[in-house]
Amino acid sequence: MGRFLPFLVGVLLAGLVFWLMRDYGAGRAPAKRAESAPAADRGGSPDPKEPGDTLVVLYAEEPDSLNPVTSGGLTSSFEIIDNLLPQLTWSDWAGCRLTFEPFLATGWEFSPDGLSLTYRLRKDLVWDDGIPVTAADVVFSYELYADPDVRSVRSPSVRRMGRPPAEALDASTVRFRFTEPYDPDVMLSHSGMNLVPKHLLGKADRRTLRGHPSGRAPLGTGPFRLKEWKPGESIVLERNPNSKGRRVPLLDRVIVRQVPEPAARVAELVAQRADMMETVLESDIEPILEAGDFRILRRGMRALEFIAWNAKNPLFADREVRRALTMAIDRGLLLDRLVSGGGVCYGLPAIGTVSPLHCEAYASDVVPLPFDPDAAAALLESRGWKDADGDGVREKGGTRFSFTLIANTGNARRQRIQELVRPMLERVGVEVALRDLPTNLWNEKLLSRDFEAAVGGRQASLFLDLTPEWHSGGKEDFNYASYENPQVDALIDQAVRERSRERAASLWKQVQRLIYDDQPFTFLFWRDHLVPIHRRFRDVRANALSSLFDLEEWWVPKAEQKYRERKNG
Amino acid sequence: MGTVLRRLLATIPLLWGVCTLLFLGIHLLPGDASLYFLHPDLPAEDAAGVRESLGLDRGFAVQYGCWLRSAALLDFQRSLIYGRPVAELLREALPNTLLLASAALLLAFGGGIGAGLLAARRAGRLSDRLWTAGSVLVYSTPAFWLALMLLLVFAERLRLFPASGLASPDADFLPLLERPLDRLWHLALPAVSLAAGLAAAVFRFVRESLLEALAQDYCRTARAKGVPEALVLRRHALRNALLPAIQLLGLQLPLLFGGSVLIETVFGWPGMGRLLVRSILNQDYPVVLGGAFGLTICVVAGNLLADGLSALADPRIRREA
Repeated sequence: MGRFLPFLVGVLLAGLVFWLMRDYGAGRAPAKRAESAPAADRGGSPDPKEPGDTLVVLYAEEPDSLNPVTSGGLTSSFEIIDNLLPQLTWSDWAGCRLTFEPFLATGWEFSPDGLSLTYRLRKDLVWDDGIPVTAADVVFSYELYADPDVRSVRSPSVRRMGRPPAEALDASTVRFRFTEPYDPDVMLSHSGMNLVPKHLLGKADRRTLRGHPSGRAPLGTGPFRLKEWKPGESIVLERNPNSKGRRVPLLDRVIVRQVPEPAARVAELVAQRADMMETVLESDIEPILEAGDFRILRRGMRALEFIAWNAKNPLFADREVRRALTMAIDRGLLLDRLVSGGGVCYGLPAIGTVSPLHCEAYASDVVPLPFDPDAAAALLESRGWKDADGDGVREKGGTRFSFTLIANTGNARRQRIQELVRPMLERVGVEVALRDLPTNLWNEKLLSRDFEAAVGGRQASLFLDLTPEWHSGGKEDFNYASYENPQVDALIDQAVRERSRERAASLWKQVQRLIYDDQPFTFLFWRDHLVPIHRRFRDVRANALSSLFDLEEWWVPKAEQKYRERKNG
Repeated sequence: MGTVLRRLLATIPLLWGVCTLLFLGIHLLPGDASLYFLHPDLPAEDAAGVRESLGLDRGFAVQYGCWLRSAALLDFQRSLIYGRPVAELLREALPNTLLLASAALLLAFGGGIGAGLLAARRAGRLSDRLWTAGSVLVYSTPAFWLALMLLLVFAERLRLFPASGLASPDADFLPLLERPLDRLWHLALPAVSLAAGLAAAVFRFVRESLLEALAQDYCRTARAKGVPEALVLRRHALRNALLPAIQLLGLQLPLLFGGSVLIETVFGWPGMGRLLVRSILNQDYPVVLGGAFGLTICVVAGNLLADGLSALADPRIRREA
């Protein structure tokens, strides 16, 4: 019988586990949680703000690193990094554009020729280990960003700078040199990236910097500092009492949890085991709002969805044909079906790749082509595409108007676009085959222009520069549609070098009008970046820059605080 | 001892085969890990530089040779995406997967054997038929679907269990004694999802073997001697009936680790499965190969354990060994 002991123990343990979980699950949550305040008490913010409580945020992916130079560009990485590491300026999105305030720098000035930008630095800032932050750290950080051995994804930001990008004039003055005079906002923004300590990384091998331990234990000076990183699970930030920023944060801690499955993120949020999600699908908004204690922040229209027509393919070489295809697609229906939730539409019709957030430069006068299948059919007919054999598909010179529309698997929204668009195009005599590809393969196809038509998306840049997407200069990999228009090229070249904001905005508007006339893409819609957050957090600002923007100002009234420390650690 | 050594030596070609196939598979996919670092504003020459710095511009044979040489020295190189040593990533993820797999095994064998005993005692009655029909249903349910259903019902609707993670966000504030309970609470849904299919298989094996054993002469003799039925079942029939279930353990281990890939992704369990999914999607081949290496060793170790348990339960196997 003794030989069966392990099995009997197993059975007993399994029973115990079930029992423990049943009792614990049912009884624990109400005992742990402080009651939320009634809705009527949640009005204006009393003064002064009260410190305490913890914010639990859910992200889909774990940061690959907290070193801003080597991080691969995941949203979670940079939203955390901005709260840990210093920047020369503190940027905000106000109205239609980025604004800049002093942070590590006390002030800055542009040279008369517009080729250099000089910052004066504060002298009281120190890294977490007590060593002062100096101009040498700024110079060193930018050396790293520019070093090809480091392969920083942020290297495009130093592409317009000289080599070395920055020089220290003294311990608290640093000058950036640019290859040409550019838009001042671009110069300020590109010189305002997160800094890293030279004394920690100065001797590190740059080819293996990505794996340097500091990427998981960064030294900062920001409002928060890293307390703990539980791999694959969560990152715990704690208030930095020595923060020399605009104020010492009010929240005790911020816990960033990684939950890859969208359904699990929603379940965690509605069960109040988290306070905020970095982003949410429109279709999930209703259950979250029904849970009662959440509201939805809108970060602005930065995400564009489009269909790219590869102009290298003879089917799409004719501008009129592309216009006909756009008119055959009911973009209003797509908005209604794909970017609406709880009776609210969280999107806008798109007319280009400039986000409506850039309201000064956004060509609001461009009227989208109407949805008019009859006009689309007539236009195709006039360009020689006729259905001579009566099989429902148009032909021209022996070529059938038939193509494959690709999208990436795992993106349910794009797959729905494929499904909805196919019958619309079939109605005007265009045959569409659908194909879903793994994201890397889909990306590879777009980069190599090895596709006919593709459903794609783009996160709009916060700086206006349409060179990568529309310039035909030959170096740009992201002109998916192989678009070429010398007039557009000339206007882009002029706009990126224009230092007057008004004149640049006017040039960008002209670019948008020309591109919309040519329809290299069918621009489908912009969608808002939606962030659900628990109502107990006050003075919350999530804007186009970050979901965790201005985090040091967030606070929770004492009566509503949920996480109270009983013991340390 | 000789058997164990022989089995361990046979693991070497197995590991080589598994890793070589995976290496081929990843390199047959279009694109490579450099896509992770490409940014819309990165010029083409910089993109080529990224490939070069990751060593992806070298020929297939050179990359394979380098990896094989490192693996022979048990150095699994660095992740192309994280830049960290693969061994370090495995050290973080493997214990979580082993915890989940052990809990699933415990549940599957505990539940399967217990239910098998109950069903065999009431063979042919309604409860036996219900157990049997239920086991067919559970066995034919895909684990990931079951996981999503458990998540929707028990986490989102009833809010009885957490939907994700290893521990509560406020686990640091819990009294010391509550912390292990918190872990168990988080383990519940992933472990049940992973265990369900295996438990159904164990149940069917145990039930059939018990019924077969109960019809044997030695059980009939025991009954004739006045031994109560429950004792006949436990003491005389169960030991024989357990053998196929133990052999099932060895067979099911690879499926268990394979299943954990999906379950860990659904429940945000930071184990090998999630690490592998992320690495496969990013074509981070050193991590994929290192992970496969680690899991293959776990499967071999599990098989050795199953053989040991079989020998414990069956004296004939001990004598043969």
